[in-house]
Formats: sequence, structure tokens, C-alpha cells
Amino acid sequence: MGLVTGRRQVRGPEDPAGRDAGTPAGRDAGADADEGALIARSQRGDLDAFDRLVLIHQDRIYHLAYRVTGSAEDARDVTQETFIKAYRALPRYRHHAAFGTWLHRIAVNTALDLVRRRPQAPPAGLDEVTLAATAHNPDLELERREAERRVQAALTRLSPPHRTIVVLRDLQGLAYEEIAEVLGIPIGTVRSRLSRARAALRQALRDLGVVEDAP
Amino acid sequence: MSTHLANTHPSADDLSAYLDHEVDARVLAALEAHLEGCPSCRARLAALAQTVGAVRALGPIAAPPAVRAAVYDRLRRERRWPDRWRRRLPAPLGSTWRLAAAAVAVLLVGLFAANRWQQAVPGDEVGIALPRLGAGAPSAPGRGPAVPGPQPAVQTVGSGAGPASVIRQVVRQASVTLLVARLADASAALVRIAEQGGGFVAASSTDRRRGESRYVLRVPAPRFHRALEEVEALGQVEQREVRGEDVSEQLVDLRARLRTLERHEQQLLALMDRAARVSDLLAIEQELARVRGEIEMLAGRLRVLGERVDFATIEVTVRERPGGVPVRLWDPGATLTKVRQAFLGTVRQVLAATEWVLVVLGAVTPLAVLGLGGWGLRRWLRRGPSPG
Repeated sequence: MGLVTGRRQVRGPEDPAGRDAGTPAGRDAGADADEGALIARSQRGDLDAFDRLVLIHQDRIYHLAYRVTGSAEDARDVTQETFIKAYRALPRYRHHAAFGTWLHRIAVNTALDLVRRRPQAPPAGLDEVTLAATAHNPDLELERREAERRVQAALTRLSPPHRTIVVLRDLQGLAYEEIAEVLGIPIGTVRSRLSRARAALRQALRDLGVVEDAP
Repeated sequence: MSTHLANTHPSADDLSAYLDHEVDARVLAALEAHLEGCPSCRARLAALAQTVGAVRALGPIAAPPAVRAAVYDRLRRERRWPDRWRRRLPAPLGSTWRLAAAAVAVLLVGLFAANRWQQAVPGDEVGIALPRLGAGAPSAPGRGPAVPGPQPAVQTVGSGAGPASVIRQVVRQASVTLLVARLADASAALVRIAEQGGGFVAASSTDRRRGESRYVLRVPAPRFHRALEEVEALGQVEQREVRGEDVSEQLVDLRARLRTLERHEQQLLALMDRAARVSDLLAIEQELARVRGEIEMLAGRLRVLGERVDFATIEVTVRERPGGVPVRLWDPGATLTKVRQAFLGTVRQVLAATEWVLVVLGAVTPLAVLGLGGWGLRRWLRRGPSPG
């Protein structure tokens, strides 16, 4: 049931992008065995076991939903809906996909549904955030937050499929194979779509002044 | 991916995959060799890494605790419905209110269908335009031949003679001449039709020479129309006559006269007790015998009449179709007739089904509008004041 993380291949450079994003808190080898038992109990209708599963996965799912929808309110709705759908679908869950990947799939579909129904820009505009930051004599924390807002704004400029694939890869840390499973597309498509999404993201970051143009 | 990567610049896809450690081992070496010697590709990679790094620097966000509580709460409320139910239902029916709405809809449609069916079944009056026969009423006159009613109005015959006059008592009769393919089959079928629902074959005669049989079927009055239809379905109807005779007044009249006579009998018995002389006694006895004879006769007539009302009569003359007995191996004419009948039958059924569907649609449309309105209102209320 190895979730997403810790599946980085050995080959390649030492992570040029810096930190390894998306490591869920408090997960180790023992947790996987526990999770299997929790899933089995949930499938028999044990709501408390499912509650434990929610506790384990909610932060990752919420993070995914937040980055895809760009709004805390939507992220809350999506997360809630994801777990409820998952519980209902649990009798049909077979172990051919890792539980976390399976949850990601439900969450991505739910989030994209919501985004498609509300295609407007997310409520938290960049300008008001900037204003708030400057008004309070920005310290380091505020500066960091401001940078995050800008990156999130750049993400929001991407098309929903591009945004989703970037979030799945660079924030959730899913391997290509897992992304292919979550999105239901071939690995080759994951490669090319991700590459195009990153190009679009670079453009958006430049537009928002997060990065300077490369020479 | 080509093996000449050391010479050609890698594509954006390759660089992107390289950042993700998702490059094939055999390509990896060539790619790294190229990067070693190509500053412009190193710059491309650095720009890409910067982009990716900006995203990866986004901090994790914890879910608000309300999410977990809300999930638990909603699932617990849902669980009050037996799990078995929900699992069998399609997902959209899973939540309780949709289930309730579906149940109401099914109930309404069911009621409506039952209504339609009830209207359709007794609606096939064949030819008699008389008020309908009460289900239990026709048996009243037949039972207990001389039971005097409680009402004292003995002399007023015909009018206001009690509740029995409210329901028309009708003797139903039909005679049908049928052309059939085989007499034996038709006879068996007729007996079956008669005996269904407690009827019987009152008489039957067969004339083999002329290839003709006559049957007198007695069927319970409520089954009259149905039985007649079944009889006519056995073959080609050559001749058909349906009669209804209203015998309500006769029955009332008979009953009244019976009551009068019975009272007379009682009086005579009382007189006999007080009679002193033998000649009086003899005269009274003579009169008593006459009265009793008349009572018997009237009771008998009442019984017969009641029975005629209770059991309708269907006279059936069945004639074998000339050449109906399979002389030839195959009769194309008959086949053609069957084909035509089957064709028309199907067309009729399809038309009837279409009509039924249209009628049901008509009936359901207001409900659908209502339901849609309710759904919309619910959505609106949900979106409005309370988030989540």
C-alpha cells in the first residue's frame, strides 16, 4: 500500500528543486499495515475505523483541494465530499490501487467538478493580500506568505488540468505512474502534460514577478 | 527518446521528466553528458527547477478540524438507513431525502397505475346499458325463500317496498353462434370458462352430423361480461345477442305477496287454536293447505328468479368451420387470418401502451415540476445561509 511518497527513484541528480514536498506527517511502514486493517473495518461499516482513515489522510487531501480550487471554503467542501464519496464507494474498493492514490482520484474529480461549475477566479485576490501585508509592517513570515500567495495566484492562472497535474506532482509528490492512475491517462501523457503545465506556470510566475526571465 | 541526446538538445518534456527522476536509465547518461557540455540546456533546466521549486516551496496546509467532524456526522446520519438498502441503490439515491422523494414518487405512480387499471377492467360493458349490479345484492332474493322483511307495508307493492328495490335486479342472457376450427377443443374451453368462478354448464347437446354443439352456460352475474368475451375469443362470432331483463319489480312483488300469505297463515293458525266446532276446524285446515301450497309455489318462483339473476345465461352454438377439420396439411387462408390478427393485435397493443405512457407522463408532469421546484428550493436554501 505504499503511498505516493518515498517512491522516488534512485537515479538522477540530488533533487534540484529543493525540498521533497508532500510527505505526510506520521507515516511509516507500520502505519501501512494499520491502514489495511482500518480499510477492512471501514468496508464492514465501522465508522470509527473510517474516522481514523480520515484523520490520516485529511491534511493531504485538503492541501490538494486547496491548491486546485484556490479557496479555503471550496477546499473544505471538496475534502468533505471526497471522504463521503470514498466511504460510500468503499465496498467497491479493491486493493489494486493504494488507498491514498484512490482518495486522490476521488478528490481530483470532485475538485475539478467544482472548478468547472464555478469557473470564476477564486475570491482571495492578490491585490488585497498585498495590501494587508504592507499595512502590518511586513516581517519575514508575512513576506513568505506573500510569496505563497503569488505562487498560488500563478497556479490559479493555469487551466484546471495543468494546475491539477502540477499540484499532484510537485506538491503531493506523486510518481508519474500514480498520477497516471489518479487522472486515468497514460504515463506518456503525464510527461507531456506536466512539461506543458510547467512552461505555462513559468510564464505565469514571470507575469506576477515571482521569477525573473532567464537570460 | 533518441540515443543521440549527447549531440541534440533534450526536449522540454525530457528536462521536466529529468527533474522528476522519471527518465529511463539508458537515456539518463546521455542526457547528463549533454547537460555537461551545453550551458544553454543547463540554463533551461535551472529555469525549470526554479519554477518547480517555487511550487514545492508552498507550505502544507492542515485541514480544519471541522472537516473530519462533519464527515463523521454526515456518515453517521446516513447510516441510520440500513446499509443493505443503500448499497443496492444507485449512488444518487444514497442520501436520505432523495430516497424519501423516490419512495413518494413510486407510491404516487403506483397508486395512479392501480387507479387506471381499476378503471380499465370493469369498463368493458358489452351491450347492456343498465345500472351496474351490486356485487353481493343479486344473491339476496335466492337465499331463504320465505324470510319476511321487517317492513310492515305489506300492501304497497311495487313502490317503496324496501331497500331491495334500490338495486336493479337484472337477468342477463346472451346467445352467441361461433365458428370454430375444432368442436372438441371449443367444448373443453367452454366447460372451462363456465366453471371458472363457480359457474356450470347447464345443458349441452351435440349434433355430429351437422357438426354443431349447443351449450348453455351459467356463470355468476359479475363474471358475465368477462365470460362472454372469453367465449367469443374461441372462434369467429357469427351471431350474437345480449339481453338484459329487469326483474326487480317482479321480485319485489313476489316477496310482498309471500309476506302477505305468511301472515295469513299465522292468522289461520291462531284461528285454529280458538276454533270450537269441527266444521270450522275443517274449513280452516282446508284454507291453510291452500295458503301453504301457494307459499311454496311463490317461494319456488322467487328462488328460480333469484337464481336467474345470480347466474347469467350464455347460450353458445358452436359450429365447426366447413373444412375446419384439417383435411389439408396446411390452410394458407387460416394462416393469413392468424397473421393478420397477430399483426393487428400487436399494433393495438403498441398503440395502447403508447397511450398509457402518454397518460402516465401527463399525470407525472405536475409532480415532476413540483419535485424540481422543491429540489431547487432546497439547493437555494443550502447555498444561502449555512455554508457546508
